[in-house]
Amino acid sequence: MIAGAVRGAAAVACLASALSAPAQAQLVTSRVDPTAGTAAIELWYRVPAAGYDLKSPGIARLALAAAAASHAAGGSSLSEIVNRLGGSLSLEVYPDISMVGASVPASSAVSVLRAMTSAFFNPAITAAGMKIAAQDSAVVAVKQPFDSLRTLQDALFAQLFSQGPAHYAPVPDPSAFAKLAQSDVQTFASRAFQRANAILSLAGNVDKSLAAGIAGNDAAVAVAPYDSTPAGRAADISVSARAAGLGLGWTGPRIADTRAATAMDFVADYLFDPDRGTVTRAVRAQRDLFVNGQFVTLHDPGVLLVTLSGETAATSQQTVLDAVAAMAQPLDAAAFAQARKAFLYHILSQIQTPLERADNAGWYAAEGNAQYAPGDSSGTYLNAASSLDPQFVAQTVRAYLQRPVIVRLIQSSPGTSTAT
Amino acid sequence: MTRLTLVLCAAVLCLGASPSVVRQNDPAADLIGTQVRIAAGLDRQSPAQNGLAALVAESVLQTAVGGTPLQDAVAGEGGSISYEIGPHDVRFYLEGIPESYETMLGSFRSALIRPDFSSASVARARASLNARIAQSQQFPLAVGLQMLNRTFYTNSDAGMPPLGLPQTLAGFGSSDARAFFTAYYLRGDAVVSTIGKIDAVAPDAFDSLLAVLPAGSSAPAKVSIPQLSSNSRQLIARRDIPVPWLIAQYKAPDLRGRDFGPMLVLTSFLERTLSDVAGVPSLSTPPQAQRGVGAIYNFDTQPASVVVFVDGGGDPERVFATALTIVNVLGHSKLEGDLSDMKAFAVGRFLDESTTLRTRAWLASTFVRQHLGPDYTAQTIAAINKTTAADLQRVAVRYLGFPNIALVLPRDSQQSPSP
Repeated sequence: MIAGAVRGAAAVACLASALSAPAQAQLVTSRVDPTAGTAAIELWYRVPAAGYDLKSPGIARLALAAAAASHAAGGSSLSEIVNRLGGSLSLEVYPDISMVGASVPASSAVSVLRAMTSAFFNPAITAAGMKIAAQDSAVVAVKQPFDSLRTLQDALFAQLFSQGPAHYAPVPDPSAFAKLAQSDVQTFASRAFQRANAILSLAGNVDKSLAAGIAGNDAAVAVAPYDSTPAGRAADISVSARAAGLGLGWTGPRIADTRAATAMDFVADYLFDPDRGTVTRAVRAQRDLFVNGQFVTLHDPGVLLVTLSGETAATSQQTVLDAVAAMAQPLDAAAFAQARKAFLYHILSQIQTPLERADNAGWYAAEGNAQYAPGDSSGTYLNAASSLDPQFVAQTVRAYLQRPVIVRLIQSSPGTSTAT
Repeated sequence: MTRLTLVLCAAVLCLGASPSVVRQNDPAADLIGTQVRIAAGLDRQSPAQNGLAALVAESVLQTAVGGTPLQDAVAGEGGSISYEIGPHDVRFYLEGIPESYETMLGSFRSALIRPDFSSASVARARASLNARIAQSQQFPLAVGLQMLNRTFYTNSDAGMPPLGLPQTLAGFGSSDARAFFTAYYLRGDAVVSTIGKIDAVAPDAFDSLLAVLPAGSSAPAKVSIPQLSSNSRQLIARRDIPVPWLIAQYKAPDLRGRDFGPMLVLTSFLERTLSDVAGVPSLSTPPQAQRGVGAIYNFDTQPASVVVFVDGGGDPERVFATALTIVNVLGHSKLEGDLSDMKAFAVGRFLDESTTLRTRAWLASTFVRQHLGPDYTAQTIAAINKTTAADLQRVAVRYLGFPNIALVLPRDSQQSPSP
């Protein structure tokens, strides 16, 4: 651990000046820790991945990458700066939110915060930045069909939501990027990444006073979360894909219903934890099978997604359905107490590092409930978890986890999809 | 008791009594993590005992505590326990919520007092290991490293497969496991490295963890491994993987030597160079486990090693050859300018990869086990920052010359095995 945060008065004044324009960003922090060796700095945005008209698939991914790769006048791009420092750069696009984040040595927190806000609050997309972004996005898109988990999740979202951002894959077919012109990306980035839309999430060794010029904790983001319209009666579907798989999806409680949302997290953990989940253990003998189950906390509604990747996935469908149905009855009190402790541990183990904490704080703020982030000092999430009891969990399962929508990936050449 | 207190910002590290107990109090953490290192690793095995170290460690996790296997008992209290078998020691790692951490420590202690080596327990341990072995064969980097390690260590079994092989495990029974445990689970060379919200636990809970083991220390089993009579420095394996991987291994300087810092700088330089040469554009930094190219400096082992790996997304041999050429030029050309960029990158990589409780506990124990102070971050950054151009060239020439190479190829590959 090093005492790394640069707290020079001049640097603070310079940064505050750069950030203190009239429109402000929302600031969220998670365990700012002056003893940590690194700082995590992230900007989160509420933005539809397929564009504001939902007719430009991939534009958020391309704009995010282009802003990170474009050189400021006479300077370096954000990606070059972070790379030179030996840090990590993250670009994440979800249907309704996007994020750029960096984990860097604490001594460089000021300069990276300055570079990031400069690159995104007033993005100036260059031709060279566009070229790098197009290559980078194409590589991500080319790899995606080989990732059954992402393929299944995208397909489940598309079936669960008939309209809105969630109906569209955030990373589309590679050819979609080629259709997006630099001017379109510039227009989109200027609107999407402006200061008033931003949520600045900080964790680790970074001086909170650096952000004083941006906003207080209670500042609101200029745009509301982009919700999608649930399909009334979602249809099951079979899709040709590179690899076989099976996905099951249910819509669940909105983020404001914290106790029910936490109960859904508990169910996902109890059944699908990678090491200890009851379903995970039940199918462990199937060596080719990779199981993932998670409740995705969204503004309204959230979704429980279960994916099984591998040639034998279809044979385990009933195992999943039976396990979910069994949760509609309260667990034995002793077993529940142990499962809740295990759940608490799993939650806390996922927010150990500055980057993990900034990720969590940013996500929950972007979805509309910053205080509910598991690492938030209010303890909202942990209180909700501690308040769970077997009856409430069973009641939540009965309320939300009835018939799922099912997506089957059929291994063959890509192309077709059929409702079944 | 010698009590050394180092104040590093808000963190305090204390070196406790024998066996070494390293404490990193981090009040901001939500959890507590403890690594327990016991000199019962691969080099304690004789050639006929390959896999026995893992079978013993797995049996400890299978030991019933209050009627429940230790691993499940810990999970039910809000934690996890796992182990790794290293060339020299077994490294248990116990992590959990502060409220019940003392209970978890107590369960672990109970299992160490009376490990269950009954036939049934050993059979469960063997089944668990066989599943892990099968899984590890799907990871080309692990396969390549196992092959390279077998030729890297010449006077002990430290290079044998860490979990053994199904056929060797099948031959071990209760008496073998019990004898290995009795001979090598001693507290003399052990290190307990704990981190996180440790103030929530009574101080003596960590000190007493290993008090249940007998005093004393052990020596590695004396082994002479015959060298293969071949001029080739290349090993080949075929597995069910989509693309070929190239993995190269070099001897590397000791953690305590003056070449430690320069080798860290060189390793990170190699990693960046490989990434550039591989030519796959990536703005995002992939997690370590997902990287297709990279360089790892294993300073935890003696002798230390550097491992370089390239996957076959493009042409791994071309990428590797180009990177080596660059290192060779670096070693033999006059370097001009300062090295601040290379050093900043090396510091950044080190800090970015040492953020989890597990890694921080491991780093502290690694430094203490090699008789250095527990303030690993300060020592590492100092070693990097004092590196000169002459140091880099000396280390490049001395160590990065002739690697052993493992090629892990897809089963149906027609690729020539020639270098």
